[in-house]
Amino acid sequence: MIERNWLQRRSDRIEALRRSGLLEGSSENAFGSFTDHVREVLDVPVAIVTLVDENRQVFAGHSGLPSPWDERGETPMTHSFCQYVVDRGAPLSVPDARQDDVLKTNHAIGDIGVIAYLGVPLTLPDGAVIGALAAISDSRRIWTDADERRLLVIARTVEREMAVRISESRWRSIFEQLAEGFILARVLRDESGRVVDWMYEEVNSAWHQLVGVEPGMVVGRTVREVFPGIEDEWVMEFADVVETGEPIRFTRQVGSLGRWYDGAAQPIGGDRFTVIFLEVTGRIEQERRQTALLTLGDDLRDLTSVNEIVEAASRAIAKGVVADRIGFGTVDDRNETIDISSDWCARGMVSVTGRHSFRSFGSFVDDLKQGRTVAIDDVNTDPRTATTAEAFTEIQTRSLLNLPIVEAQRLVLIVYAHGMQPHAWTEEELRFVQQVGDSTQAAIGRLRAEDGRRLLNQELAHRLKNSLAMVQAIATQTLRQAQSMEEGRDAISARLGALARAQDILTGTDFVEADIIEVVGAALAPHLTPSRRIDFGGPHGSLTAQQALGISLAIHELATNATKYGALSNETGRVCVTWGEEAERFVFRWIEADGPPVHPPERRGFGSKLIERIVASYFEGEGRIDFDPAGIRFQLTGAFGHKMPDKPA
Amino acid sequence: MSQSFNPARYAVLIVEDDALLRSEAVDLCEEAGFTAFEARNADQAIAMLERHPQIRVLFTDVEMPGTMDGLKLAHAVRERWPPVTIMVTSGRTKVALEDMPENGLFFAKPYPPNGIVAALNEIAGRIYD
Repeated sequence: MIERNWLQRRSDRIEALRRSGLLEGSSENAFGSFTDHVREVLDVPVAIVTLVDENRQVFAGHSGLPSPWDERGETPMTHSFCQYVVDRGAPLSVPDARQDDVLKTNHAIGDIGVIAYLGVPLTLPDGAVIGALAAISDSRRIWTDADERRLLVIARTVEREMAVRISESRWRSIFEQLAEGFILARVLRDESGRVVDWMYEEVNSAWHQLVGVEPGMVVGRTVREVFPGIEDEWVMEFADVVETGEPIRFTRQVGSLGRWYDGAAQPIGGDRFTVIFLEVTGRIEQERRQTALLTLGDDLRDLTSVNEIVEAASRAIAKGVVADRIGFGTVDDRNETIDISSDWCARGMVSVTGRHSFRSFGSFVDDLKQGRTVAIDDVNTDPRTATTAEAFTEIQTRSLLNLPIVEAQRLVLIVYAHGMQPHAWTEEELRFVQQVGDSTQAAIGRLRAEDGRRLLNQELAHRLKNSLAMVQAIATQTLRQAQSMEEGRDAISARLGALARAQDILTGTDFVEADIIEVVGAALAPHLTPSRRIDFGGPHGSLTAQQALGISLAIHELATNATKYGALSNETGRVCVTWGEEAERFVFRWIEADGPPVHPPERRGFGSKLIERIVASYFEGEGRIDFDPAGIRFQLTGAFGHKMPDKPA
Repeated sequence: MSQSFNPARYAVLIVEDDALLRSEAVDLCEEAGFTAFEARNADQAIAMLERHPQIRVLFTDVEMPGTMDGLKLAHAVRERWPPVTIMVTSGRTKVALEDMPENGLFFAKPYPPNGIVAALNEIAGRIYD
């Protein structure tokens, strides 16, 4: 039971010692002034402050120790008397160690010359006994009560000093472990008392990391020396802190570092102030990129040309990415060239306006053609550009970013950013560029859709006008020949009906083309009877819109005539409608049989003009009506479908 | 000119690729007393003008297949045959004024037959003067 308590106490005090931080500074003989004092007061040749660790005792202070112990600064436990003071937690008074049952075998006697020993425990504020203050003589000495009292008084002072050091080292370790950078500084004034600079008096290790300046290079130098050309605000604002006694907060860039800092400066009296800060470059850049994207979104909404859109994209890239040259160019994807009409260049960077061939700058155009953004950290090492690095040297480019704009699977434009130095493009930068690319692509898509809609509207308006012109032509010409208003009205509405049936078919194909089977079927439909007296057949074939309208009108005229005078006017007549290709010509035939005998008409009206001349002209061919007494025959010969040059009807 | 006016001695050249519309225009011109020539495109029109000096009016559609549209044709005619009166028609919403040849007349499609006849009569009157 006792044994376990002792072991527990021992491990507690060792832990307390190690936590105190006193072991770290022990080589500096930090408590040497106290041991000097002990030698004076007790008139002994040697005095020590020991810290009793697990397997060694460390001298936190010593005076008069013989070599080599003074330099070693510690001994193994085989040489320690102090461990007994610590174990007991009470003073140990030894007049002659050689005659002490416990100590007579201790190596300190022979190796260090310890004969008489008076030690008192050193206790930390939390009660842990961590070492001893001891007076040592190399000859026998009977220690008096006064000796012990005096030593205890000095031990109390040592303990107070230890407490101060522990507290200070705790603060220092917090200060050093701080993620924030810390500066203690003093302003420097000119003769007139105006603050012109400030000097670093102390910085923590975070400062070095956040600023990227080697340790040991900064204390004792001024901010203008450490960062030549630094922005005046970094001096003037801190001068204000000292002059007004008011703390400030700041978010500012050190331009020469390209890094942003966010922090607070606090006056601490006199000409001194402290600064505590964090690097916020990432956050600032992220905010800048977000703003750039928002602005781009606003810009894109109102832009009406691809060039304006891509220009806005370049502006966004310039805001969100740090580069030395930014611009865009039009791509000829077949010849793999790019035309750049203007670009923005940082000071000292050459412009690259003009025409360039992609292949003289490596193979990355292959990626661009696939619509992939190309980001090259260093043209000298990237496999796509390493063999053409010289071409890049000529345009002062080490790092580059290319954003492809693709339309209908073709590379049409490129937005680029070039850097004079190698630059590891970050994921955030690439994501930003991709977002700019997506917005740009979407805006161009919207523009194209609007263009398409506008074109479609114009086209529809045009077709509508054309249809109305046809209606008008049919109406006026029909009326011109009509015997009565009633006859005219019926003829007009029948002809417009034929026109409308063809239009129905064309509506399904955007008014571009129609299958002849459908057109003939629809045109004959009103005239078909259950007795199947009309036969029709032929291959599929594509008709232009005009041809479809024409065939529909022609069939209407022929069927109407057949119903009135021809094969469909009696009980036995038949009509055979065929079409197809003959000798590379399109041939359409209407043949009547078994009707009443045919007499050629006395007067050729609009109907036959329509059939023979107008419809035939839609086929670039000719139409002929043969008034054979056995039955009317009509033959149209011409070009098929879209082979003929034509405009949309 | 002391002889009496006989518009049939003067001709209108109708340039229109749609046969139905062309045939309607021919009827209108003949109604106004003019002789009518027909062309389906600008090339045919130029050939007609070269062959028939009696053509005094060009009545052309704008939208046509071929290398030259109606407006280009109108300008070419204004250049080569200054006395020829030019009438332009189109289904497009508008033809900009600056695209029209000098003194050209514009008729939106579908055009009013009476308007065309009236314009032709007026032209005939001017030629007679």
